Amino acid sequence: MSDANRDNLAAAQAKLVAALTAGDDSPAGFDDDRLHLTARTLLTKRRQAIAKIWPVLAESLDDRFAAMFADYAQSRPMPAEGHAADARAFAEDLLSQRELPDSGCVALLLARVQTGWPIRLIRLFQKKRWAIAIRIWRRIRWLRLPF
Amino acid sequence: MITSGTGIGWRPELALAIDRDRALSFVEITAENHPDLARLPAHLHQLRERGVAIIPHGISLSLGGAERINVQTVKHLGALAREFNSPLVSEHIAFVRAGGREAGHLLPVPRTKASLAVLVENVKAAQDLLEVPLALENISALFDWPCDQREIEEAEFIECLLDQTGAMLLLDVANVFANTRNLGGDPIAFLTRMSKLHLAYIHMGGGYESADGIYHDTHAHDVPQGAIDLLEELAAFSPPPGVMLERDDHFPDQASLATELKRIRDALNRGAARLRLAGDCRSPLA
Repeated sequence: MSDANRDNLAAAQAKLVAALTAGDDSPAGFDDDRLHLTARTLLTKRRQAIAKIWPVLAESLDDRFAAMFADYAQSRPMPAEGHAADARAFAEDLLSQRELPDSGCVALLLARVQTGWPIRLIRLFQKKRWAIAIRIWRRIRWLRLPF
Repeated sequence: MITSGTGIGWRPELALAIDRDRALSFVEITAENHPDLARLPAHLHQLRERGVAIIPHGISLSLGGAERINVQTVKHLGALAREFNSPLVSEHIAFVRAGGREAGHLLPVPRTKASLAVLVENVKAAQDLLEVPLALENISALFDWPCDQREIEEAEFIECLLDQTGAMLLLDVANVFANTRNLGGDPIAFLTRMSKLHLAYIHMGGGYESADGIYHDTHAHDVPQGAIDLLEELAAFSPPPGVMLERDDHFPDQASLATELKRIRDALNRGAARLRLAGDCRSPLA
């Protein structure tokens, strides 16, 4: 089979996925309404998966969760590693904008300390304190520092 | 047949209810939810010892995608099949990524000769890496490709795909219900053709209809009566293979789950009774 076959298919599929996940215009010939509906369904599915993996993150953002995630997802495609990686990246993004509530920060701290360096710090912006997490073998402990 | 009786999609939230239902003959596990063979739920091994078949089911292989398939993803399906001595593994007639972006869900493929050729090549590449048969599932979608990208109708597309690869069909009856509701088409005519193919097993998932009349295949609601009726029709054509319930969210209590399974079993019994009756009418009187 010719590689042109795959190239043509790749181009058509890429345009469709970009329309469904990144807000690009619908490719010619598609039903616009149905693509928008599908895009909303995909976004909801992605957001619900994050809420399931990290309920604390969703709860800490409360009614801002849906809108903030929609903003975020517009320019960030879902990572191939799956929903856990998506949740983690979303939390990191919120932290970098100082939009991550303290309970979400603690959840992110605990996620960070699972791998790599066994000692991690995070700034809790609401309480204006640091939190520290330590991993010893597979046990993890964390506490809020007094400053 | 490669499967029989009734089954269910195994989820940790359903483990207790599954454990208590001694009538289940198989469960399906989502391969991507069990990436580590060393950390498989002990319950799955207990079910296996009890004689319950376990079918690994993939969702991320993107067989209908333009990219070549990921060998590790196929090998993981195969490794799960080896672990549980599974009779087969399954995946979808769909693509899930393109242009470096993950869609996060199963998307329909264009139904052209060119895309069929890519799909066939991908399926064959997967089959080469597997020691057990591969079954392919029809998906549901809220949209279809433009006219020039659907030169082959869906039933014929599936027939050609199975014919050229030797793969079996995982027939999702609820997806047939969803697609014919949302995109048009005759579900009975479609199922009549599907019933003549090599069926591996059958999916029945739930959903709901939104205010704008669109049916959403959520697997988080009860199976709609329309899909149950289609299952009865299918069983009235010919004895079907195993039929399983898919439930991925809003997990019901044990009693509600039992009711859902009973609706499926009752539909199968009604279909089987009609099939017997039709057979009696055809056979000459003794």
